[in-house]
This record gives sequence, C-alpha cells and structure tokens, in this order.
Amino acid sequence: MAMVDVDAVSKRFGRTPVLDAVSMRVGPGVTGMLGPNGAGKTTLLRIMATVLAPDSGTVRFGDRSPTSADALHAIRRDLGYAPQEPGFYPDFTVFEFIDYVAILKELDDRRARHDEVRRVIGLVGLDEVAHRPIRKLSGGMRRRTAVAQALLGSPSVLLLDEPTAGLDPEQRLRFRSLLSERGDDRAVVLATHQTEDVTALCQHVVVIDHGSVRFDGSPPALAEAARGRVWVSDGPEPGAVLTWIDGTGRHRHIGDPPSGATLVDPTLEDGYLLLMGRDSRGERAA
Amino acid sequence: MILPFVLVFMLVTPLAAIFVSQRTQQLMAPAVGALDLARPVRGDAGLRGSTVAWRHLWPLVRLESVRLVRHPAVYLVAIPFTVVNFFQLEGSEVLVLDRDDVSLAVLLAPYGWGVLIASNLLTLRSRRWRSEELLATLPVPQRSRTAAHLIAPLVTLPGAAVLLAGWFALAARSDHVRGTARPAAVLAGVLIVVGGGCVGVAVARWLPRPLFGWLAVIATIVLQVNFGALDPRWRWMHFSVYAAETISYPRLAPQHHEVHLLYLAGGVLLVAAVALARDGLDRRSGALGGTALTVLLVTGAVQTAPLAEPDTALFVTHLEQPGIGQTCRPAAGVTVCADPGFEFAIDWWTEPVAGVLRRVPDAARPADLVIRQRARVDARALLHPEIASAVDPAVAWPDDREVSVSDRWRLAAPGDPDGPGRVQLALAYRTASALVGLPPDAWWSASSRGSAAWATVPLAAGGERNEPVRGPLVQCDATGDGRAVVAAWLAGQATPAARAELRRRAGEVVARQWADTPVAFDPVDNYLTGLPDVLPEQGAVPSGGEILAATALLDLDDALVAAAFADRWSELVAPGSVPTATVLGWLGSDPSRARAAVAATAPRFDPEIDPDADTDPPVLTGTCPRTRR
Repeated sequence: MAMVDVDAVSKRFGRTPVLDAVSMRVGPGVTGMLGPNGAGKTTLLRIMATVLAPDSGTVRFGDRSPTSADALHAIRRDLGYAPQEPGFYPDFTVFEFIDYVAILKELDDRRARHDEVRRVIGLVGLDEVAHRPIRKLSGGMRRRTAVAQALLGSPSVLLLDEPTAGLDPEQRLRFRSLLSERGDDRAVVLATHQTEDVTALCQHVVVIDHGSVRFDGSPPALAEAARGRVWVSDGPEPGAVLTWIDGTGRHRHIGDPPSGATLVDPTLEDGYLLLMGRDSRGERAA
Repeated sequence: MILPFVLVFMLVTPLAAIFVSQRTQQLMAPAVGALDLARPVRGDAGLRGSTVAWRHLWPLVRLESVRLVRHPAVYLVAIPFTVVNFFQLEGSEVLVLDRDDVSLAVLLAPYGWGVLIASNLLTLRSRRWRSEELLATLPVPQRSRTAAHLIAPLVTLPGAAVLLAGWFALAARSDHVRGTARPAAVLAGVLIVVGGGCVGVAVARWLPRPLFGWLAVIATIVLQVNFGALDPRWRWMHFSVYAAETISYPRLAPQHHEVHLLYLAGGVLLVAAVALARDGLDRRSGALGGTALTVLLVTGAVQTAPLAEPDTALFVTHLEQPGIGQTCRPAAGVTVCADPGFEFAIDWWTEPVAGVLRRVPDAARPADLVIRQRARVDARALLHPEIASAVDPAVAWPDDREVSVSDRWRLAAPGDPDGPGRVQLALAYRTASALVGLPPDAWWSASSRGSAAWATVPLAAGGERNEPVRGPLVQCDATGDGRAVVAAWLAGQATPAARAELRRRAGEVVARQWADTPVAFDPVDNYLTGLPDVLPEQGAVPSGGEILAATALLDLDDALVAAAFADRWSELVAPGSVPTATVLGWLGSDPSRARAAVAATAPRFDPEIDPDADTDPPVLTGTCPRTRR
C-alpha cells in the first residue's frame, strides 16, 4: 500500500513550469529522488511536505488528502520534513530548537517531549553539543540537527532534502544506518544528488528531470538500464556520451561502446548518468 | 538642554536594540555556507491548518514568554530610560500622587517600547531566519504561533510590578513623593507594556520588517503627543492620560481612570485581533475583534461624553469656592489652606509667610489673612467647556485680600536644584503686598460669563498670534511705589532661600538693564503650552528699580530696616504716595546708590546661559490702588 501517492501533480511558478503531471507512489522503505539542479525535486518534496499546494493533481497520504484543515492537521502530525535550509535560530541551542519544533508538533507533555528531544538528538549523535548554540555548530552538525527534528515523534513519512550534504564519511555512514532502520516500516523520501546514498539506502528510486519523472523503479533496475553501455579504456572515446577517469586511472565511458570494448558492470550512477546524458543529448539533437 | 539628547536617545535606542538582535544573522551566514537569500518559502494560503487547542498552545506560550523575557531589546530600551526616571526621583520637585500618579504609567512606557521591539523581532524570527518552510509543515499553524506571541507579553507583568514596586520603595524613603496613588491610574502603565507587545506582534504580521517595529515606537510617541493631548476630553483617548494631567486639575474634571483601563484593554485586544486577522478572519478572532471594538467604542464614548449638569455644578463649585474640602491651619498668625493631598505643603508655605510677619509691626498683622491654594487661571483652558462656560471667573479669581498659592507652583523638595527660593520669594512678596496694601494676586475684572471673557487664552493658544496675553486679568504697576520696595525687602529677608533668589533676580535686572521695566516674581515657568507670553498671576508688579532698592536694603541690618519701616508704617500704608526714593531715604540711601551697590554685589547673571529666565516683562493694566481693596 502506498503511504504517499502523488498523482499527476503539476506546479508552475509564474510562467515557469516546474512540475508537469508528476506521479509516483511511495511505500514503506527508503525512496531516493534523484535529479539535477532545477529538476523539480525540491518543489515536489515541498508539495509532499504540504508546504505548497499543487496547481493540479493530488497528493494522498494513506487514506488522507490535504483538502481540509483537519485532514491537513492530521497529515502534518505524522510527517517529518528536513528542508535544505531549515532556518535555524542561531541563538537557540540544539536542544532548544528541536524542543521548539517538538512543541509545534504538539508534543505537549513537557517531560515526554524532552525525552523525545533527547532521543532524536542521540539518534543523530549530537548529545555532546545539545546545549551549544546553533550558530557555533559546523555545517554537518546543523544538517544532523535538521534530520533530528524531522525524526521527532517517529513520523510515518519522512521527507529529507539533501540530508547528507556537508557530512563527512563517518557521519554519512551513521546517517545511512539511521535511515535504513527508519525505513523498515515507514516511508522515507530522500531528495539528493548523491547516487551512492541511493545505492546504499534506497529500495526505490525516482529520477526527475525538467519537472517530469524519467525513471521510477528499483536502484538495480536503474543500474541495469546501463548494462552493455559502460566500458573502460586507456584513452578518450569520441563516441561516448560521458567519459571520466576512474580511481584506477583508466577512462570509464557511458554510451554506445565500440566493438571490442571492455564492458564493465554498471552502477546506479552509470544508469543515472546515462539517463541524464541521453536526455541532454536528445535535447541537443532536437 | 538635556531634551535633545533624550530625543536622540529615544530614536536611536530602539534601532540599536534591533541592530544588536540582528547581529547574529550576519555571524550566521558564512558558517552556514550557501544561505538561500532568495525570498523565503512560506506555506500556501490553501494549506493553512486549523487553529489548535489551547493545550497545544500553552507550551508555545511558555517558550515565547521565556524568549521575550530574555530578549536584549527589552533591557536595552527599558533600562536606560527607567534608570533615568528613577534618578529623576531625586533632585526634582515633589510629586503629589493624588495628582501625579498618572506619570507612573509613563514611567513604564520605555519598558513597553522594549517589549514592542522584542515582540516584533521574535514574531519576525521565522521570516528572518527562513524557517517558514519548515514551520509550514508542522501541525501548529501560523495563527497559533501568532496567538502565542500575543499572549507572551503577559510575562512582562512581573517586570512591570517590580519596576513599580521599586519606584514606590524608593519613593517611600524619599521626601519627594507625597499623597496616595490611584491604583487604576498606575495600572494603565501595565496595560501599556502588554499593549506594546501586542503592537509589536501586529506590526510584524502585517509589515514584516524590523524597521516597522522602530517606526511603531515612534508612532506611539507621536500619537501620544499630538492627538489632542491638551483637550480635556480627547486626552482620555491616549494610551496615557499623562499628557495634560500634570497641568490640569483632578479636582476640577471627571476622572475616568477605571474606564480608561477598560479602554486600554479593549485597544490591546483589538490590536491582537488585527494581528490574528493576518491569517484570515475565523470565528474566534472575529469575536475577539468585535468584542474589543465594542469595548473600545463604549469606553471611548463614556470618557468623552459631555458632562452631566450635577457634575458640572460640582466642578464649578470647586473652582469658585476652593475652600470646600481644603485643610486649613492657623500658622504664624495667618490661615494657610491646602487641597487634599497637599496638606504637607502647609508647613512649607508657612515658612516664608512667617518670615515676613516676623518683621511687620504687630498692629499691621491682620487677623484674617488667608493663604489659599487655588487653581491657576490657565485651568480654564484645560477644563471641560461646560465648566468653563458655567464658572464665573470674577468669583473664581476674585478681587479679594486672599493670597493665592497656585496648584502649579513648584513644590521644591530637598535636593531640587532649583530649590524653594522662587516659590518662597513669590509667596512672601504676595503676603507682604497684602500687608502693605498692594493687591497680592491678579484678579478678574469683569464678572462676565461665557466665551467672550475667556477669549484671551484660546486665541493666544492658537499659536498664530505672537503678542502678549491681554485680557480681563488685572495686574497693577507698582513702579516707583515705596510699598513695593518694602514688600520686596520683607520677602527677600523672609528666608535664606528667598534672600538668595532676590539677589539673583537683582542680578538679572542689572544684566538686562530692567531698572525701569516691570519685573514679576514668577514661582513657576509661567507658560502654558502654546501661549506666547506669561500669564498674569502677581497682583502688584514693581519695576526693576524697586527690586534693586529692596536688594540694597538686604545689605543692612534686618532689625534696623524693620524698625525704620515700623516707625513709619502708618505713613507707608495711608492714602498718598510714598515713592521709592523716600523709602530709601528713611535708611540713608537713594536709588542711584542702591543701584550701584547692587550692581557691585549681585550675582552675575548671563542672559545667554540662563534658560529659566523670563525674557518678556509683563504687560500691566494700571497703577496700583493707594488703599487696600
């Protein structure tokens, strides 16, 4: 059963179309939302987070639709959202800020609320800086603070916009572990540029570009889309859609391989890049 | 001199508070990295949540209350002004709380400004830090957050109570405060503080820039000062009725302090409703706004309603018969009468009177001389029109032998830099005038009623005429009259402070070359707002020559001078002129020698640096009568 059902959602800002009849279904587990800058990921996430209303189309949360104030209220009670820029109050401590969000999430009982705040702070590993003003935190700590507030109340739907930006490798690993646990029985949507996060975490991936869904399926399926289209060589290949030098010093190519090319197993990133490269090449041809 | 600095401070301090509060925003930016400085994302109007239950609101109220109490703007704005206000408690004239309690509401106004700025910035917090996107996804909607901001200023009540308690504690140990405050008049200040918080929230919701918070502070000052502050009715429409209260007369006008509290409460609730209406009018905020508007209109109507006849009659009686309700005490051979709340001043007023009587022959002391507190003639410009038209000014300011002490005379307390000299000299001179047969006070010459006889002050108050006030108030010209010399000498020797004041006045006469110009002993800064010239108060006005002559006599032995006058008292007060030169001749002097002596010894007076000096001599209406009226 879909926990979030996006159906033919369109949105434009002024004359600029941002989303064009986007449909996707988010079920339990971690869903990765991939796409280049300006693809419409954040706008779609904002619509799913009930910040913005779609111009057309619907978003359903289980059996609820945000068409009335009461339904909206109920949806928001069961929603966790970490925007790209949460807008921290710099003179609040980590604890105070998350406590503030907890109050706005209607966690009324002071003792229980504080317990919950301490719990989510612990989950993201910020116990030692819990009472430090946010203005004194590093970028990575702030990002973890953003995630922590989204975890308040263990919401059924967790929407995270670029949650791993600014995290060091250790923090990123810890974060993946955290999210994979959350994704057991609830829906986690991850808007990101980081294909390795999607590879490591997601059971479902949606690629968005130019306001439309380009791919909707599993990560292996996205990788598999590039099978037979990825090869390595010792030098540049003029026919490749994309070429880069990998960690071994060899050239890795995506596109239509020449005969005799050394094909390699594709990754999710290859599939994504091929999808994006093909689209952009298609645009160039057009 | 200090006023321009105070004004600059008033303008700059709220801005500084805003700057300090915003400073962290600049600190934050580089650490965050790519701050999105584009317009903040706010939730769509079509996705507004319902208003939450009270139980969800209280934790938010609690948090915002703590934030408000900890906000630096409250202290940056409130503390300097409050310290200044407390400091002014020392070294000022006496406050009579039965009249001046309204100034306590003003004492809290800076606290209200601080709360306004702080509430404004706290309400703008989500916008300033771009957190509206996140907050829009949370179940508690903007309307509830606004409601919490509106309720939070209630947390400032203990602070207001502490400030007031501190003031009263200092007042209790001070000689500067007398009488009893009216609770409703004081509580108005508390509502002003809470109202400041609500105004800050409303401004933030409708005009979401910190600058508008500062402008709101300025707007409250402008409204308070310019919204018909001197009008006896419209002043009740202000936040504080202080504007005219200190120069008006509580015994002569209706006091609506309890109703004014309700009026302020209605205003605060209306502002709250306006703030809530930013998120759309729902049933609750509509009901709140409707109720507040009703309270505001009803209480406003009550406060500005024309006076009923019985009330008018009562106030006219108080004006025409000031003795009703006064406390009178025989002292030093005269009777001194004071209004309720001013009984303490009887002893103060008795001192210069006794000093005069001490040097007057026993036979010259009238048994029925009364020193009475009386409304100053400018009261008529501040009274309700019904009272002004019903009172007979010739009865209210009669041609009698009583010596009047005006309600507005300075009540100099210990430590007052101006000291009691001016009041003591003025009162002693008037008492002595009565004893030598000169009129002590200006009096109303026509027994007419209605606007014609009252035209002088309102016309002059229009501000377009720049000419001395002329009207039916009579002062006589005592130039060259030896009785004025005697009266001035009796006044000057009455007390040490009066002696110093007469010398100071003589120094001014010398510096201004006023030897032939009428010079009055003004016990107050004798101006009414908007009037271009002094109001006549003193009955017999000598010229500077008489003042110099009397000052010269101060250099002689007091007993010797008193004996010389006692020997010739009947000649002095009998019909027929005793010129100044004659009086000086009794003591072996003459006007030229007197002037020279005073010019050599009087305190130096620099008209350029004495802002209190009167620059315009009074306009007189005739020579003084030769016999007692």
